[in-house]
Amino acid sequence: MNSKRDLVAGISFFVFGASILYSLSNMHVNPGVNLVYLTHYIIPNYVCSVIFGWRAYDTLGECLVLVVAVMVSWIIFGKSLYDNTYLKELFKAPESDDYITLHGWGEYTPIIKFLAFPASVFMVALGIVTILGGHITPGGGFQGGALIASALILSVVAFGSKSPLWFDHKYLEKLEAIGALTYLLLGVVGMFIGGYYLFIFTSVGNLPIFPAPKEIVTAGIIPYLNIAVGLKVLAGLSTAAFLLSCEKVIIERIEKSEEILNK
Amino acid sequence: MNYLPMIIIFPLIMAIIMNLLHGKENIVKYLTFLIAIILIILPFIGQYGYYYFGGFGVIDGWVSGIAYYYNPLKQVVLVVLAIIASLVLITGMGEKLKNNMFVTLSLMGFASVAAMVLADDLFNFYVFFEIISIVQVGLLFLSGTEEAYKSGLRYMIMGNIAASLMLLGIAFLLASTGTLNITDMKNYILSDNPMIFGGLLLLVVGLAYGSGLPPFHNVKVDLYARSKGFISAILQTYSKFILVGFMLIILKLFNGLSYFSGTHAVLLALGVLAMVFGVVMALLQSDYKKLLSYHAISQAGYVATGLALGTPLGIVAGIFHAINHVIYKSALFLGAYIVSHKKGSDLHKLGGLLPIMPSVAFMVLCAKLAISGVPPFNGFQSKWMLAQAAMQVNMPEIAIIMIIVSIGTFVSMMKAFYLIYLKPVDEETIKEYQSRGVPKLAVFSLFILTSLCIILGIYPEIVTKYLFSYANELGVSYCLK
Amino acid sequence: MDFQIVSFIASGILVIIGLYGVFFVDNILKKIIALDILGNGVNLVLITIGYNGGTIPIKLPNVPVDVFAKKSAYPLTQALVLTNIVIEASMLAVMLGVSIILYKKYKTLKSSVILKED
Repeated sequence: MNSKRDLVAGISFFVFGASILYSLSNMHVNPGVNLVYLTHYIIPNYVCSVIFGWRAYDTLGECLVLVVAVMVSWIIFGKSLYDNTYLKELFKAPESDDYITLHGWGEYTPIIKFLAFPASVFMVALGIVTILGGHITPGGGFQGGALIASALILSVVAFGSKSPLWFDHKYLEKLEAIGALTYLLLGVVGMFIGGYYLFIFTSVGNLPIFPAPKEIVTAGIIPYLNIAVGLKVLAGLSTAAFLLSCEKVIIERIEKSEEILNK
Repeated sequence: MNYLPMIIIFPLIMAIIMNLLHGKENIVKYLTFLIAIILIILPFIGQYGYYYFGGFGVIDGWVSGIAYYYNPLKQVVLVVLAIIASLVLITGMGEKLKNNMFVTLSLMGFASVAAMVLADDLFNFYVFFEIISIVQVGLLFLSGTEEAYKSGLRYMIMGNIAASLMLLGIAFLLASTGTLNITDMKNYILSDNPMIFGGLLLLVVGLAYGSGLPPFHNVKVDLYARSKGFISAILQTYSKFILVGFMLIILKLFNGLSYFSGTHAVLLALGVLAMVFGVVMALLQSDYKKLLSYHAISQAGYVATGLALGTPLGIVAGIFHAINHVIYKSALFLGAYIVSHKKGSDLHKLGGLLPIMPSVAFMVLCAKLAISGVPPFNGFQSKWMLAQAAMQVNMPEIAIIMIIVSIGTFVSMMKAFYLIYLKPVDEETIKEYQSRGVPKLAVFSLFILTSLCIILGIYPEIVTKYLFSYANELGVSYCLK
Repeated sequence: MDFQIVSFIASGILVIIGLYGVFFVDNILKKIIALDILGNGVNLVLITIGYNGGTIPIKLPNVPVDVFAKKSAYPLTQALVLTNIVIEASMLAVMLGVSIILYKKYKTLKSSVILKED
């Protein structure tokens, strides 16, 4: 029974793979709408102008995927469950030896600590530069946010719970909400000024919204959208990594939700 | 000014605010009632026609930005979605825990399904497709049992495969046409090309996953059956309207092209298989929620078959059936939720509930007659239209399968009704029933849904008259020899 | 242009490796890694569609727009890939979270044990 099933699966897998390879090797690319994107100037970084200008609404969706994923991670680890008896049993049970938590992590050697802290400080600085210069140079909100989040993760891995670079999770939650709300509300403001959602307005009245040299003044709200995405990605990725590694907070959370349920 | 994007943006903003209100139960409760009322108004604030985000309209003959397309058909779908979403939100506030994450995730789901129905851009459609798949597992995890975690993981693994393959299909279409806008893309896919064909087939994988057609019906059934009752109601509403939105896109792109006929057959086969699998598996179940979930798959098969016929009448019948289906199936899931307050959902342990709650039993009976296609309920109207559409293209075998599946539905529904409400039980169980209350808000929602069933069954024109114009635009009339 | 074909085929192989891993490897963590490989294969397809032998799409101040448009790579697909990377990262985070919970229960990562139908 099982071997027959494997055979059928193998054959269909092979056919599928062959057809994908065949159609990929026959690929002809039509430049299409790219020509429009390349001949109309918004800001020097054309990728950024596609992300935050032409297809800004996709980026909004992408932000929301991250927001939802972080919310769902919180739910997985016991926030607002209707019934948390299963999780309670699981986390009250004694640990086996091979299970590593942040609490019982131990400490790395001085060499790693010596290198990790300056490296993470530099990464934070680089991340901030990447976010702020996203509209001129390669990079943008997502890349910068990911850099800062990885600096945090590096520091947490090296120092355990005594990490010098540490964000409180409530602070991160608020940071993420602020990032996402800024993006959503800037779009609404654009709707009232330009008539379309996520319209790139460059000035309110006579006041330029992004004071800059003449070539970049067309950026309008794009640098602010960059900052919003940066905040959100930094907060989202740090929260996700933090949830996957830090059990103490989860147990606290479960106890707290127990109080709410028993009230 | 056109306020069309507010249909999506308002629920999203409220969702993020709701996320911050963890633990403040009173505010959550009243804000949720307010949102539930506003949701129903939302579909009426947009204007018909194309909407270009950021004002990036047609430049050099290409639609440069992301576009939405709004018309009466989509409006009807959104109104029904809003009604069900707000009824489910109201029902959720009857729980002991006023759960802010439930409200957040339901609003996110509402927004992304609305975005998928409105979307005129393939990549934007994909982004919201991913949001809805995470939202669905999030809603599932809220029940917090071990089975929920297991089936959530299974659903996500399948979902990731299907979504990646669907993105590969979108990449194929993008490479050969050079655009992501659906209206533009239609002009560039007239020629037969292996890449476009491959792209179409990979899109069908995403369709099967998003709407729970085979081979993805198992994970979808687990998703419905492991959630709480009122959450299953909204989950199945999401997947029906994902199916409608996705089929509208596929029909808009490919309907009438010469190389579409092969895929056409695949879609019809998927629909018929879903119908038959769903009802056969439902007959075997002993868990009430699982039985209802398999019926949800079976009815999705009806919708897919109707839409896949590709004729104007078929499209109208499919969408009308989707609307009817979400109404009566939500009523049934709410009935299961009320029953689970009394005593679980295992059919062999239940019984004798009729004297305890006669009005609920009557309303559930109405919904059960509607799902099995008995006049004068709404299920009859749409199934009749579906059979008519199948006869019109000279495929009587599909009409016959539909009728047989209807009979199967009737049998298993009546079996469940007997086992829950009529089967005699001993004194102790009745005392146990009487000691437990009935969620009032759920009964209220159930009442509204049942009356919608009867109204749509007597006056189907109030929905169908809005569907015909766009269906005539998409559909292609043909007849098999 | 030859480079483009090679890149397409490489991405096709990545997709196939990913699918193989998801369907035939009996380990949750390896399945998740395979899903990542599958997603990266699709990302590589998208990136390669935008490759035309040109430079990075960033305009320097002294280059006129029409000259720049002729020698630049296509920006659309790069933007799509950036969006897709975030989406995949979030899906992976959720799946890893669930597998931690299930690992704590079963003390194993075998998917034939964890994901068994009941």
